[in-house]
Amino acid sequence: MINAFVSESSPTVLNAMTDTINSMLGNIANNPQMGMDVTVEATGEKLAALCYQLQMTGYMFRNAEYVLALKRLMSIESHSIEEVSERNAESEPGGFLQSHYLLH
Amino acid sequence: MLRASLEAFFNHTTYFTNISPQYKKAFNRIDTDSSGFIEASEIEGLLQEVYGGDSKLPGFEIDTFLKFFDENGDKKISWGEFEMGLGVVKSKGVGGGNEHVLMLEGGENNASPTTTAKLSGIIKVEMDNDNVVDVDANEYVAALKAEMAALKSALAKESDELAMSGEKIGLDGDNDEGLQQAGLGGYLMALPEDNVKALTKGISNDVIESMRMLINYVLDGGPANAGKLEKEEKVALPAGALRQLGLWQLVLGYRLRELEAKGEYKERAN
Repeated sequence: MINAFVSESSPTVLNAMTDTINSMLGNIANNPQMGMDVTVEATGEKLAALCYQLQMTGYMFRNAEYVLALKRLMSIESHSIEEVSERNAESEPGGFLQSHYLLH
Repeated sequence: MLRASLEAFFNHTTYFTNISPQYKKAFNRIDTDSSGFIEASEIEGLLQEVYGGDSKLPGFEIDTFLKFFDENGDKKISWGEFEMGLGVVKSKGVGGGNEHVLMLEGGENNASPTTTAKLSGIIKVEMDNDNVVDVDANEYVAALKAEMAALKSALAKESDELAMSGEKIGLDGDNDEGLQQAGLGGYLMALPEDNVKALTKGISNDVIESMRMLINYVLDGGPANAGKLEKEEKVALPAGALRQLGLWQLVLGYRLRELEAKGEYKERAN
């Protein structure tokens, strides 16, 4: 599921997600060359809370992306509608506007 | 931490910063019959353009658009709802253009909100429409205080609701402090209010419920069937595993919103 997601999602969203995880884990965990093994200890309850936070964040990312797509759509006076629909036809329209359909 | 990344995301994309008359223009452009509201047929007109003339616009796109903005459930979108949905408005309760907007900076300057300093004289207040109005200082401060009280009670209500949703999902054990530190409540409360409003507003109970189910699934051992993890039981996760788990949760949330928007949610769940 993650692989499929990486291959079809917009770079903006992917970056936002990796940034989120990276800042969550911190520098030691993100640099394998430091040669340190980081292990996180938590109770089931706290782990559940973290999962919920992250799911909610993912949900917000999708909504943020939607708003961005709408904004592009609404203020694209310099980009003709044809241009946008063309791009949209090229990429497979999965529906529920994704911002990369409308990227410059 | 998550808050920082969300902010970074917004900053990168000028999500909330791009306030301009373009919005009003866009609204008027979409509102083709100049009724002051965007109706379903007008949404269809807008979105059909994206899909091109040939392919059919799926019905859910209109529904989702409408649901995303329509706050009072009248099936049409007012200018206020439009602004709010796009994150233009910085505080709730800002209605038509005649009301003046009072921006209260949160946090820093409210050390002694109950001071009763004596005031006199006239204050010049610059209204939204550039008119300057003279107001009696005492009346103005009284109005500000009333507004502050209203905001506070709204905030309190919000916190209650958040606490309730935390309970619903079964995360709010007997440890209130824990919820504040790590739970949804603390996290969302830390975000600027309008960001959260615009982005989680209208989340359906179905989605909350499936989040709960998914989390139980993780705790039950997930796909690896690793054995059930109890609430109080400690587990040690290598950073790599936590990274995978975290990414998976983000993608799940993202997908849930997508399914919700496409109206496919119910089919998948069964």
